[in-house]
Amino acid sequence: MRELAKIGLWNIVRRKKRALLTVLGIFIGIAAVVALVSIGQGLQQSVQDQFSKVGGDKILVQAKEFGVGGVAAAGKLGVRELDVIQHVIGVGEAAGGLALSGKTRFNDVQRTVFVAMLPVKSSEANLLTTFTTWEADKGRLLRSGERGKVVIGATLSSGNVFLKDISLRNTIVVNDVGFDVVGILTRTGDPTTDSSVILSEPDARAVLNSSDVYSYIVAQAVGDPDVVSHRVERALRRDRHQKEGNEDFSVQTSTELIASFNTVLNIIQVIFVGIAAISLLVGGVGIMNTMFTAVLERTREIGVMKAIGATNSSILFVFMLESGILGLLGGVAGVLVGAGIGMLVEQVVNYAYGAGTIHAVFPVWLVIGAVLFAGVIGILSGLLPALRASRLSPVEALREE
Amino acid sequence: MHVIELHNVWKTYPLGKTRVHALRGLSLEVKQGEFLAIQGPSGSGKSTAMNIIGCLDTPTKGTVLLQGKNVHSFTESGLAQVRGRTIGFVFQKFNLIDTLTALENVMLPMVFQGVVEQERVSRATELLSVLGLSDRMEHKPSQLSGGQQQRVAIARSLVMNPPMLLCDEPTGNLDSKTGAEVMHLLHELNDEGRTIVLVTHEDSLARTADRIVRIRDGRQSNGDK
Repeated sequence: MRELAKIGLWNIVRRKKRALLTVLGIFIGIAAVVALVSIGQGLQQSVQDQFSKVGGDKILVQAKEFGVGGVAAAGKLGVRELDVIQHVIGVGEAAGGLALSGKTRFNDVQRTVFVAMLPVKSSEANLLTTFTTWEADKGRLLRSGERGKVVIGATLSSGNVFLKDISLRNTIVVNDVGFDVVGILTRTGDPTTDSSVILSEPDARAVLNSSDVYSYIVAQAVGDPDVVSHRVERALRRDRHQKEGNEDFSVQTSTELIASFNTVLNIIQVIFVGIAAISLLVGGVGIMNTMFTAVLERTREIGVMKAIGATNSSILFVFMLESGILGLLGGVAGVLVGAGIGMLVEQVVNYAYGAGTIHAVFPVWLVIGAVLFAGVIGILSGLLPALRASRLSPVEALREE
Repeated sequence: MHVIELHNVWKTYPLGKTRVHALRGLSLEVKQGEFLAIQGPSGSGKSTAMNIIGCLDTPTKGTVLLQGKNVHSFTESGLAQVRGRTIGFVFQKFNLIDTLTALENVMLPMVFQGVVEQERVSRATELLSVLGLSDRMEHKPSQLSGGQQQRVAIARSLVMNPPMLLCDEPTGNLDSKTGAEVMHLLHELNDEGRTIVLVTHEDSLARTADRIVRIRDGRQSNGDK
């Protein structure tokens, strides 16, 4: 079969330019798929990592109208709600968190950033720290009740925001009050956290002039989080005299949170891969077109091969192999360039938003799958032309000039 | 048993609304070991006869026996296999595969017959050496002269050791000297016992054969030489 394979291969080599143009469609499609999926997978993985840090036992309560930061909404959450939630059976601990905007000044530059707070009670502080995945990259986190100190997010510390790096022991001004920087957070990938300043609860309440509202409340479930989450919902509904379906708040377990995030991510991936699939389809049609041309050009050659004993299946093999190889070539080039694009996007995003924001991943199934898929497209596209070639009558084919 | 026999063979092609009878009841047989010339001007049905004798085409009416077996009893692929073993083709335009080397071209019929690679190489190498092409084996057809290409084609036609060679105007694309060399080669092969069928329009070539079948208007016009 080596000679037959060589006939197919040689015809690709002989028509390099045509082969190049032919595989372009497949190449673009595969490159797009690989680039998108590698980044999508990277995002999914970082979400998964985040999730394992947060833990599956967390329940998040938010006002419905505005989501995070919606303290002005009708369904605002406050000390009363926190108390209700803390008394639900199955809730081990609950803590309120803030994510409100505040004016922050450093290096004579004023920016609006998120102000977060650390509760005074240490069990609540611990819960909130776990939930937000705050970790000190430099310095340390706040101690509960510590006044006059601030911990800042990774994005704020880099010179991008205040045109100068913020270091430990610098002073920043939040709503006209100065605070000493004692810690800088490890980048989380969540833009809210990464551009937050964290104050202790009394300081935060003072600078924001807000007495008892929370942007969200986190509860830690003891036992099945789904069951506890329903109890929390029921307790809040009763406290607010609201009917089921008309609540002005939402309760989600961390599992639900990650599931909804993954759903969105999957939809985006499916849409983009769908667009890339159009390119693959066009690429397949391109290969088909080239192979039909090749059959026409090589009609006489087909006739000769049949005269000297080639069966229809031998001819089919030669042409299918040729189109399959065209597909594979497009696939390999597409994977290489797609991987390159994925890594480039990773570099660019990490340069713009700081190291470790996203990470492009290339699972083995993606690389092998993409190449094989391209090969299969090539083979399928070659099927009709190859069938036509194999069914040529030797007499007709030999008559061809 | 004859190598091939045609009994009252008709070949009819539709041409628009009418029908063209390329062959009108042609009967002939090719005897083992003979050098037979099939001679006829263009339009005589000579090419159609060649296609039928070469089992590249089947008759509209009549019987063709290839080594005693009716060609209609074969499947298309079965016939291709038998053809590859029984008939060696030599064409006017050489018809080598231009992407393959001389050696690979000669090996190709053996690929279709499932001969193992080692034997393919040794048989093809031997034949090319016998035909004086040992220094041209790795050359592509485009790097060979017409005479060399035709000798490669003859090597290809011989490599499955078929009982019959069917040569369609084998000297038509060669200068007279090279053409004479090729004719000489065919006669040598015939002397060694190979059956040769030479299809040509040239009377001078046909006269070198043991027997001539002249075809006019789709049928045989006279008997043996």
